[in-house]
Amino acid sequence: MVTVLKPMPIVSPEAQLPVSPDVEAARRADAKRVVREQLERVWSVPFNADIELYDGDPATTIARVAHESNASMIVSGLGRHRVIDRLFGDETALRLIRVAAVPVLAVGANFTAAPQRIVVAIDFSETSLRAARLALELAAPGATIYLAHVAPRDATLYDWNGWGSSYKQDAGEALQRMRDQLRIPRDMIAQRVQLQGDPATELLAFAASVNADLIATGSHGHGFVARMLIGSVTTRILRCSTCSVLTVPHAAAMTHLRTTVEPPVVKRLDRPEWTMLLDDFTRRNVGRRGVLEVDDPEIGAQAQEHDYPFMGVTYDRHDGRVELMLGELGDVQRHLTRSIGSVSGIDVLANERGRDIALRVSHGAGQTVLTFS
Amino acid sequence: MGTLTLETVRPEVGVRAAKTSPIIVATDGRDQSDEALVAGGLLVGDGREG
Repeated sequence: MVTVLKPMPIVSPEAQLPVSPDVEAARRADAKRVVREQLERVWSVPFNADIELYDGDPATTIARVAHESNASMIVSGLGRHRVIDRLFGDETALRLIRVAAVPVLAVGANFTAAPQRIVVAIDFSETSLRAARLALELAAPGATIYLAHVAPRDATLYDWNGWGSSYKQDAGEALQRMRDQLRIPRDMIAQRVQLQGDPATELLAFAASVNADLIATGSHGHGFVARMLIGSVTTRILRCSTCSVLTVPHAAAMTHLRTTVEPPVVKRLDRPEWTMLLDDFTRRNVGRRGVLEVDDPEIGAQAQEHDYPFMGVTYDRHDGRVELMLGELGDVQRHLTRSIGSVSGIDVLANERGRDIALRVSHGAGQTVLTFS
Repeated sequence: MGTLTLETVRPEVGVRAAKTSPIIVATDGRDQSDEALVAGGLLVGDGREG
């Protein structure tokens, strides 16, 4: 059991007197007493649990403790969705998910039993598969698991592979493959669900329609992507969901705590130099494999392509478009081009050794990110 | 302050928790984190008490 004492608030600059040891000891004893009383209240019986008290910012401290103790999961309250919490950045559950290197279960109100109806957000990434597996571990006997995939509003825009099958058929088959990989217990029901539109909106609406008591999702969150791209879907689900939310971080994030990671260097490219700098980017990275992710709230699209070699990126100053090309060199059947208009900014993320990690192209209210493996 | 009534429905599998890989339950002691305590106790798999 972990509880975190925030630093004592300072009332005014004149009042910055040192806190006496007696006051501090009383404060700590009081915090432990409150938690012990809570345990007895919740469990209705005397509860023998270790209560560990830490000082600091709750989200980062809990994430650090979980990391150092090799925790398998963090369980926290979902929070009350108060506007004031957002304004003052006090959404502990949301901040926890952003910094934690382990799965976080944010528990909604009225949680009294293992979940019976679980909606798993499936984008066919390894992270969403792991989210589904962990959700199965939490499921009640006889539970129903909905494997839900949200297609872009105009899926044909993202039917890039040109292999002759429709997006819906591809997604249906991929959902079935994922279902087969999960080894779902016999007494549980797994249903494939295909939705279309804005991912967060559709998942929340579907969860409400089936009276779900848990939504499970991969956070995608790993450094750059977590902070600059995704997060939008997870954030909205967390803020708007009335049921519990399980968030599983990207596998790469599981190996280290994000709060201790060396901050990557983000370089904003100057527009007059886009053509030249993108040519340089291409020369440095051609052939590297990566993940392409699109987040576009205007058309409700989120699409991903995994493990495609990077072929190049160009900027055409005449029509103002960035062309991003992925695919196998010499194989015209297996390549795709994403053509991006209304480009408002281009950023390159590099690690501390100067090696490129990701490219972000901002367009309208959305963005396209290529992250190298 | 009400008392939550716990049902006996636990997960079929449960999350593996051990001394070397615990489940962390974060609480501020207020009733807004009561559910986290309930879930933390209910969802643990191997080695849990009935």
